[in-house]
Amino acid sequence: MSGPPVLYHCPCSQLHAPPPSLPSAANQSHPLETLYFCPECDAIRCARCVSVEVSTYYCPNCLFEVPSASVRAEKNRCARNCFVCPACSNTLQTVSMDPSSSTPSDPGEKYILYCTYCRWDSTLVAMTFDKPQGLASQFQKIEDDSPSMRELERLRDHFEPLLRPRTSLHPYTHARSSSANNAALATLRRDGRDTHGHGMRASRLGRSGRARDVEREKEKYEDDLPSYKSITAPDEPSEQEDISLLRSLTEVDDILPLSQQQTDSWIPPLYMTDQRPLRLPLQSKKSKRCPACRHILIRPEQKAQSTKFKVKIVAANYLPALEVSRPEDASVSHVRRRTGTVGSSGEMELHAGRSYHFVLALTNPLYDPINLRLGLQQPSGEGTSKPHFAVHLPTNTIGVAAFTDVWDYDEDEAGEEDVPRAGQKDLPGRWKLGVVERKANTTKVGGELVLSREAQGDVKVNLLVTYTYKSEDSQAADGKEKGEAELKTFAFWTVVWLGTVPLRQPESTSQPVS
Amino acid sequence: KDRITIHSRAVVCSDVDLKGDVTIGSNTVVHPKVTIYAIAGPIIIGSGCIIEEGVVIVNKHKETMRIGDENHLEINSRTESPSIGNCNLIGTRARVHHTVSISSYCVIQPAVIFSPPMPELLPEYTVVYGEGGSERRTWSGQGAEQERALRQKHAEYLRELLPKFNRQRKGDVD
Repeated sequence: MSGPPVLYHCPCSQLHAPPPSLPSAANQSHPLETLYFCPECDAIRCARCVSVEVSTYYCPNCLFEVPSASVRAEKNRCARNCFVCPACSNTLQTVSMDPSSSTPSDPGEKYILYCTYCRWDSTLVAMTFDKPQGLASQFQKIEDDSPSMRELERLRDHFEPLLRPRTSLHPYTHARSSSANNAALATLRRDGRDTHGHGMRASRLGRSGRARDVEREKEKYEDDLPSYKSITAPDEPSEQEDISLLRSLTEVDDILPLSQQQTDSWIPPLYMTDQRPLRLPLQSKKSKRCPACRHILIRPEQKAQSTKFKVKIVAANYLPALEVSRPEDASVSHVRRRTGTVGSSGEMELHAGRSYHFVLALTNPLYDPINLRLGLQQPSGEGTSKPHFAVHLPTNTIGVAAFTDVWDYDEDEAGEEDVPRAGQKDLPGRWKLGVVERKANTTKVGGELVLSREAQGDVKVNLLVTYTYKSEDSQAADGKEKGEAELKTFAFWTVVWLGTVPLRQPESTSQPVS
Repeated sequence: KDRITIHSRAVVCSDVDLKGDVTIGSNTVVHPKVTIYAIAGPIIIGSGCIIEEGVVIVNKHKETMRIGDENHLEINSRTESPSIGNCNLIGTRARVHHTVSISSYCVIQPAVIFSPPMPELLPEYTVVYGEGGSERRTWSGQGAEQERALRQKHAEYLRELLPKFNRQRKGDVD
């Protein structure tokens, strides 16, 4: 029906909208449905400036809410039977094995993991389970014996006794290992800086007297740091084996494709029999706050199954929605839609040297009528060149009705000019630069776009929308008395994309930003 | 010119569009709104197949198109493959081109438009998935028996239930 959405500018990076031809302007404007609005600061907030915090962690497969304490213990993975297929990244199901395919000496029923999409199952990597619950813990037992875990344990055992004498100099010595670890981490960081040579001087300058004593003590111990020998030998011999194996391959069926080798970062699996299913990573529900006043803008419900929100303050409930369309091409685009082709690129194509009529639809989401004023920022052209296009819009105040029930709306106003039909577009005098139609809580405004002969690339223009609405002050002393109605004004910048003129020269300096 | 042969134990709803020389084996269930066009050559469908609504089976070549036993063609799928073996599953809205011959125990996942440029025969136990059938891997056969038993029960249930709500169509030559 219409072109791409009108983007709204968020003032977090710049107070006023930059000229849309600049590449940096692309990230500052967002579609209306992605924006939030803080009612206390009276400001638009976008996804880039809003502060995010985690509300709950949940497993996307079993929808189990994981308390934040066990999230760290389970390494951000689901603790129950949720696994990810290593071949197609779908979720695995726990099924019981075919009784005939298991060995006859096996009395009990075995359970395996099975992917419903690519039909991978864990018998290919020789993983079977005895009971269908708690697979993650059974799996973890196998995983704990991997070389990466053993290496990590060995590193920890190596460094812990070295850190303990240093933490005794720390003023806050605790018997519990967790804070010792924190202190150890802090000392490790300082040690790291010291061993880099110039760090010593900086640390001396920046520290207090007490810390300086600690530093000097540690310098004494630095030379005593024993060297660490890892249990895994350097990888060259095994790599050579792999390389020679790969060279002599005749079939590639058993070798994993690269995308499936990324599942393990320690030793990427080469063969199909080395693949391991991963435990499903947890996802989080986030709540968002205004960065300035800490007012909660979005707060989801705590339950993982529900997709509703306890608090949902979005810009679409406060700001009028703008939409651009070109009515004279409506009949043409209709035909294209019926034949099934995506006509959006055709609709947005403009031709240089012509003038176009477009319609801007303004929709009011508030329960009170509003009055709008549109202020255009005419394109300044790049550097020395003159602007390639000019946009004309009405500058008077436009009123839009309130958002009420369908049957409360007045009839459409009778005194409107007809929208010109296709075929009459060569008579620009007939186009009305003003209110074209008023229907329900939408007002359509006609505008004109004039392109010069040298125009090319995107036609984007900044539009400042200022609107006033009556906001009733609800803090009247008397409950019965209607509060004083004050007229509040709000203004925001938008970027209106009217179309693209296809580039004529093959090499052109201005790249269209889509 | 239509020669429709339907086994007495097969259940074919009367709303099915059959053209040409079509043979439907025993215990097969054909749901309403199926289109089977044996335009240039005959089509022979085996026993125990489940052909769901909206399925289009077209044979544009002179050679006989054979569909084996216990296949499951899901809703709105379309096949022009000259030969399909046994116990295959063609997923919902999947399309199989005439260059492919499918052997047995294969799975074409839903919405996969499987049309390789060169004629090929899919080996047994192949699972075709991903965009345009780009990914495929060989199934280990795990759970094949359970699936086969389930499909037989499915076909039996349909054979009991469909005649209660749909008029049946008998073949020309019984």
